[in-house]
Amino acid sequence: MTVHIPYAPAFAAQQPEKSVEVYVDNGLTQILTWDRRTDQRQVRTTAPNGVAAYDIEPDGRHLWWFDADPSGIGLWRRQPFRPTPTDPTTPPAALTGLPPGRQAGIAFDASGGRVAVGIGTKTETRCYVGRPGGAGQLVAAAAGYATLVDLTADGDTVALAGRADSDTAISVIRLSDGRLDIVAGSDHRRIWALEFRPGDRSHPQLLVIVETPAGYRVGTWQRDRGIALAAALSYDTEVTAHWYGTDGQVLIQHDHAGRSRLLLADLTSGEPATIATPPGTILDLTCAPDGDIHYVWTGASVPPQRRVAELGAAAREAPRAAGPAQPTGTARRSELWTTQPYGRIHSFLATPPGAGPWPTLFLVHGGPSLHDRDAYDPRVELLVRAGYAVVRTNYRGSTGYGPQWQRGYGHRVGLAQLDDLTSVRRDLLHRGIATPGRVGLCGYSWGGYLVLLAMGVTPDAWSVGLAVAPIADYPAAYRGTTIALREVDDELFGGGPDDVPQRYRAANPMTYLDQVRGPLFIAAASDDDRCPPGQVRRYVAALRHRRVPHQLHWMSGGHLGNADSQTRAFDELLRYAGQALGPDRTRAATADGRPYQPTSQGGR
Amino acid sequence: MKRRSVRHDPIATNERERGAVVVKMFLDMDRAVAAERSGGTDPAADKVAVSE
Repeated sequence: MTVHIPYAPAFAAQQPEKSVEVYVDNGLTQILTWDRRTDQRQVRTTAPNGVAAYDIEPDGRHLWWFDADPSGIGLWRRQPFRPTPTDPTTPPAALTGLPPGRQAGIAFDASGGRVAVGIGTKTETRCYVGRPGGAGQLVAAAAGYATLVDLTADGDTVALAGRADSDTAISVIRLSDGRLDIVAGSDHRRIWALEFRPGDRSHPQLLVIVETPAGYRVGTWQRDRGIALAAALSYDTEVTAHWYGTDGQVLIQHDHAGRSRLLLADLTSGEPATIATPPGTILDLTCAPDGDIHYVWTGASVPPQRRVAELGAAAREAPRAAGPAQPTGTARRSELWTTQPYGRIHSFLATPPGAGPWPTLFLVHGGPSLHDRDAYDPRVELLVRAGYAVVRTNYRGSTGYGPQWQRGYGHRVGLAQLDDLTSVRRDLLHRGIATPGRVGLCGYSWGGYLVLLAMGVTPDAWSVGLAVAPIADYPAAYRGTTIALREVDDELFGGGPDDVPQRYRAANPMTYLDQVRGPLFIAAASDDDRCPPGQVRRYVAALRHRRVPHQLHWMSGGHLGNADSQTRAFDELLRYAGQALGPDRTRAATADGRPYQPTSQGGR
Repeated sequence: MKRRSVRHDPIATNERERGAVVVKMFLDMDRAVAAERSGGTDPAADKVAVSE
């Protein structure tokens, strides 16, 4: 199995030679410890559903991992870094007395004597503090979805983050006296809390990002002083930031139009310096105690790989440029900007070798607050290998193009995105890239929702719809999903289905059932917590009632399925697409040099 | 600088997305291969049969 891990390691702050990361074993992520003094690496877990999150205590003696079921509910476990014969098969709870819930953050103080964790329940997010291995004490609870941002070095202050535009965008609690400071965001001033300045014990300084309609700015928040923004650190599109060391430097990741760059800046003075990274996407990063930046990088033709930017003490004066990346695959890559009165729609194209036009599939991203990038996607490789041109369009609502592109379409949820997909389709036909009558849609999750909506709103435009883990009935999906996603929908629509029913009706695939012609392939997971299965069952029953050509495929293993489910679903999806679009497999196979091997029929 | 176990920033807030950064998918490149061709029918005129 070809699997690429997009996660960076976690380093022990006081023992930099010790780190933990995840490794894929039989389709599941498991903890891998690495002791650089002995160069010993060991797989340390056999979690039945894989490891969803991990960390290591500052002294490096114990590691933590979150043990969750497919729906994301679980608990933190704690085990020694070095295994001993007496270790239990299943490590004990890392903090006792906590309810099972969703992982919502973890932070240690500088000594490792105190830990704070966030646990999400069905109605609220709770913050517990305690000594690792001991009892957890509930110190705060926030209604809805929130995350634990950080714990100060002295262990006396925790920060929680709510929705960035909410009245409780940031809550800062001093544990010694219970002082609570709250920072409010708004529609025009969203605020994200990131982390406390390391080593700062007297006046905790919280790194923040503020979004206004003009863009994003990096700054800090302090008690009694409020937010101070850095004049030089202003960006047109999405950023995140990390403290780098203890002298006030910050490491900034700036994502723009599908590519990432890294910058190192002094928060109080001067222009940021660029850290050399290859063109592409940075998926995750961390900074080792020696100052080196460990990051996971990918490009369109290069699977995710671990890289290191050596900025540590020995190399700080002359950062070493990252080495060349080795591309894989045979797809030809290009980009398309489709001009509309409201802006330019950016699409990434991947085409088979030779001249077009080709049968074409839009691979529609989910989120919607995500974007397709200059990043490796195994589905693109497989679809191109099968003879399709693959189009990944960053419709309005996508991140990566600034606040206006992400939010400036009113509350025409779904329909604005379909306008963009239809515009790009027209552009591709005009340019001779897509074959008329052989253009389909494929999407996962919120992308799958757009597929179902399009097959009802503009059925003539699309020759096939392929939807995996979709929203099929929006009000029902709203009621059955997680608390965090209900808040997302509240933001997208300006309320819930009871507040703005007409908006949900306009955006609901169920509304357009009588116009659906198909063919439609739908895959759904029976244990999906984000796009629950019941609403998919009802949608498919309605298709059946209307005798719309379709195929339903069930998966298991949570929202997007486990490893085996994902492969089976994609296999079936490809088969179905081939029946509807009939790609020129002979041409693609000749150019690729790999003959096609039809898979066995049905359930493997 | 520590690694964040849960992201909450303008680039990503994992729990607030229906979807994922696609490279997290465990797609088996060696197993998921192209489908059989449909035999040259016009997909617009000859829709795929109902099946579940």
